[in-house]
Amino acid sequence: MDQDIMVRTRDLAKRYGLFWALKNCTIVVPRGSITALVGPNGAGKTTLLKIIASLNKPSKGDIAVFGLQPSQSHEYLAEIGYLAQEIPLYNQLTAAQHITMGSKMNGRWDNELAQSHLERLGIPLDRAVDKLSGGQRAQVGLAIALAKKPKLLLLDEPVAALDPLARADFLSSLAEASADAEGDLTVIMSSHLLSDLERICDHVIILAAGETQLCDSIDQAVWSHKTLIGSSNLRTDDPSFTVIQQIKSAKQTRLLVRLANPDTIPSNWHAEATDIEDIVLAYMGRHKGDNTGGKL
Amino acid sequence: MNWLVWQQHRKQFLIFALLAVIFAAVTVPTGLHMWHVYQQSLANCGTHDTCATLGNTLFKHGLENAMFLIVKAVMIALPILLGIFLGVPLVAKEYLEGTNKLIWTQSVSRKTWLTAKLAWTLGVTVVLAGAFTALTTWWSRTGNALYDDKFGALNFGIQGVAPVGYALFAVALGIFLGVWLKRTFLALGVTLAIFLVIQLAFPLIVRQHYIPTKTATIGLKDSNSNISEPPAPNNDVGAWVVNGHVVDKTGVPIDWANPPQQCRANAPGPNQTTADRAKGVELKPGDAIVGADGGAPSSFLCLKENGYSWSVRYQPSDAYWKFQFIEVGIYAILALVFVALTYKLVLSRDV
Repeated sequence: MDQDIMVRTRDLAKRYGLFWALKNCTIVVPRGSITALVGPNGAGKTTLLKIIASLNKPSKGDIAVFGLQPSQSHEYLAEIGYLAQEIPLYNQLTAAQHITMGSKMNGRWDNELAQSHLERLGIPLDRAVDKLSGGQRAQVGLAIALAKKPKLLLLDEPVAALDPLARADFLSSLAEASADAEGDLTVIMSSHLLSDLERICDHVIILAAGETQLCDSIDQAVWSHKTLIGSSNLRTDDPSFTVIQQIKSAKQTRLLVRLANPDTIPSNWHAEATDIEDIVLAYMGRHKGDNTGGKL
Repeated sequence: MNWLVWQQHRKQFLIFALLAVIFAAVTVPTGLHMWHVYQQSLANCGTHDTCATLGNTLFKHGLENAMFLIVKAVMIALPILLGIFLGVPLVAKEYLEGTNKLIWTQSVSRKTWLTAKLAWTLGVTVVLAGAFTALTTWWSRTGNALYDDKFGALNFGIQGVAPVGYALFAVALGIFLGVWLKRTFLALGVTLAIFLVIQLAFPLIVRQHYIPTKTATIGLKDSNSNISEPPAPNNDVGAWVVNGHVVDKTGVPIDWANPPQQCRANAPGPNQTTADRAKGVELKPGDAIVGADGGAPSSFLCLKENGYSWSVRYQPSDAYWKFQFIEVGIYAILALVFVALTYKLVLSRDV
């Protein structure tokens, strides 16, 4: 096993009844990265995270997480932190009781970390969590996931329901935790908008219609994708690039492409740099109207 | 795990414990007093020759009369309430609120988690149902002495050990249906429906087959004006009479539509009309065939004189505890089946 790889999947697929929520999902997540998992609603993000968290079993394909198959074993679960989309907590328990629960249910547990995290944010420890705001609940969920000291932290749309301020707080808490772990913490978090997460992520995986569209570091992705502009009579089936998105007008053709060799711009084309948000939107646009999975 | 189970479920546990205390507060004083009254009546009845009919006169009014109904109602409701309030939400609520995703990603396996929850809940069920049943069994001693009807459909299922089995089964069924259906109200309704069907099926169909019935031949009584109810054997009044027929000397059951010619009553019973009489009198179960002079029913006497008697199949009263243990055993096995199905579903199903 490659020591630098935290999660590796090959042709991972998951079927619910007749519906393929995930198909041909092949990803590599480097150790220590903060990876954004983006895609439209129904693209399979939650399914992928649940499989990694060993909550769901894949229908086919291979997956290895720090060299192990996800399972409900103590050894595996101890290395995983997971925060589900709706931030489930025991409503009648307080934050302090959630921390106690964590300490009783986990061999490795940092009480101090969870407590100081919440105290620093001024979140009351002695109030039932159903009395807390959405942002505060998210922080309680994060504190519990972090106090496990996991190798891999999985966050499913953690900021989707938060207001901009709570969102910023949450992301800085996360960036801080990642920095404190000095490379021992890998984070995968999903969102349907990259702009939510871009600030702290260094890797990106794009899922659409249950399939992997892109899995790369953000720097690499930005470097290998370019906007090409040329006259409208130029051929677009050039082997030196893959067209992700094209806009044709009478006079000119505008393409967003992945270049096979980013150092060489195809002749006759004028290349412009593009940013990661445009790239993500282009990939997601490719599957518009087809973004609810489908038959394999 | 124990800490979490206690934090999550202690409210239900304690409410049922409180109900048990209230039940004790009602059954203990009334039980003591009723037993005392019964003993006193027993000491005095000899002088008036009413000892055999104490059951017709004692506890016919007020709280003590109502208690016979209250105790039965509580004991019939108990397994249902336990199934609905302890069983159904136990795991279903975690699915509904998504907390299963929180708890199944801590470092404790699903199996360990489920085992702790089940052990606590089923353990509490046994203790609570045991307490209610012990109180009821003790309280019922007066009624048992007066009516000698421990096999009665409403008595058998509230005393002894059987109710503990009912409670275990109802809770296990509720847990399973909650997990399977993931909808509290639906699971609640289905639990109730299945439980009631099974509770009815046992006294009506299943229970009588636990051990082979015994057969007894019982003479017809002179004064018996109601021929529809097969009597218990004379030496075992508390026996459970499963069924019986009036048979002739050779053991052939009487054909009520066509009774022997010589025994057709020449006087109408209260249920018979003039038209019936014109057609010739028919003896039917339930018809009281009383002679015109108010004496013994002539046709009935005739049947007796012609050698007719009751042939009844029954379970003797000394088999009572055997029946109790067989019944609790069957219900415990049913409960185990649903526990096993719950494990299978929780461990294998995606969230």
